[in-house]
Amino acid sequence: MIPHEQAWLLTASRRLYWLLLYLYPASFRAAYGRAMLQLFTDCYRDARAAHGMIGVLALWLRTLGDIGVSVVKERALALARLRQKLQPVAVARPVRVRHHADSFTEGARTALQLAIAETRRYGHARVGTEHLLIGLLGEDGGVAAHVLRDLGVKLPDARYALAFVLPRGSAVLGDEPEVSPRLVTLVDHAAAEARALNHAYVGTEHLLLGLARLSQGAACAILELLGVRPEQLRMQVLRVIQTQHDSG
Amino acid sequence: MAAESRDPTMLVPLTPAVFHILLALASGERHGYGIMQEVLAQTSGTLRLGPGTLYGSIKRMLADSLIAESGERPDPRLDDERRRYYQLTGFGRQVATTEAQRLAHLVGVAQRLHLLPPAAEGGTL
Repeated sequence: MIPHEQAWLLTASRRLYWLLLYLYPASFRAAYGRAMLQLFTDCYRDARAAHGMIGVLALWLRTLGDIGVSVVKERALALARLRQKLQPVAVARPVRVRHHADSFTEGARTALQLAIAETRRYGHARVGTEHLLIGLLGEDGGVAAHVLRDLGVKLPDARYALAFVLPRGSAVLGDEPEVSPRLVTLVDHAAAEARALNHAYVGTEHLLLGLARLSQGAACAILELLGVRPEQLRMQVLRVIQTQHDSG
Repeated sequence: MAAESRDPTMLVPLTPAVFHILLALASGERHGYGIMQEVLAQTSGTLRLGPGTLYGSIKRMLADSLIAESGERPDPRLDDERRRYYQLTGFGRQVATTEAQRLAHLVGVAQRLHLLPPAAEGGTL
């Protein structure tokens, strides 16, 4: 066991290692951060027991090397995944958002309006999944905003991530803005989700479920950057819907 | 995705870290620290996998279905913290065998070229 007077060194080492884990992509840290801290602590205990303070120093040198190499590697892989997600869809699909728009709830309509406003703000030529994600976050009272907040997604962070994946444009949108094919797919998915749940309306929660079914697109890239996995998103939405159903 | 990657030769040659993790798990399930110690023992103390390298490899090996999580529980020999255990999949075992055969073949070539002493007693590869 570690003598009492050196316990602070273990605490400080653990804290520093935990901070250094923030260099990794959020999704990697979320999946393995705890296990990595645990492993670091095990190694600390071994190093301390075998070689005392020299051992701890050597452990830190090794650990910094390990962090340097693996951060570069994980970051590069995460960036490659982002690129893949940003590949344009091969086949353009006709704009069919308005077909579903009749069944949209007030909240879903507001989210869509906010998405259009967001598209304008960035000077982008058409409304995409990424703008809808921001719109869903902005529709404060909605189930989607609630779920995203629970998952730690904040509006400023999402906007920052959006600016990271897509450059600002200089397009001027008309009153009937063009919608990206992927957003059409998302809305189709949302309508299907609503039907599967026996809901007669399409709300922000269904739009979020529709988003969780996409594997590509700027919204997926943003969620990836913020460390939210699609299955996690889906489960959280279903949980909230269930809770609301149970309570009335 | 897993079904497409069923040909074990697609994944070889493996990176040293991945091959060593497969070897460490060949004798049974282990948690991260257990894998690290086993690799250290199998390489006579020369390969010390750090947390970043280890879990980066584990993540990719899970994606390739070489290994699978086999549960989360404390290790009574260490402390009462819960630890995630990993085990080899059938496919992982095939890939490890394929890689070992590849290396054995190379050792045979090295012996014929007198870079290595010939194997003992009838040990032609």
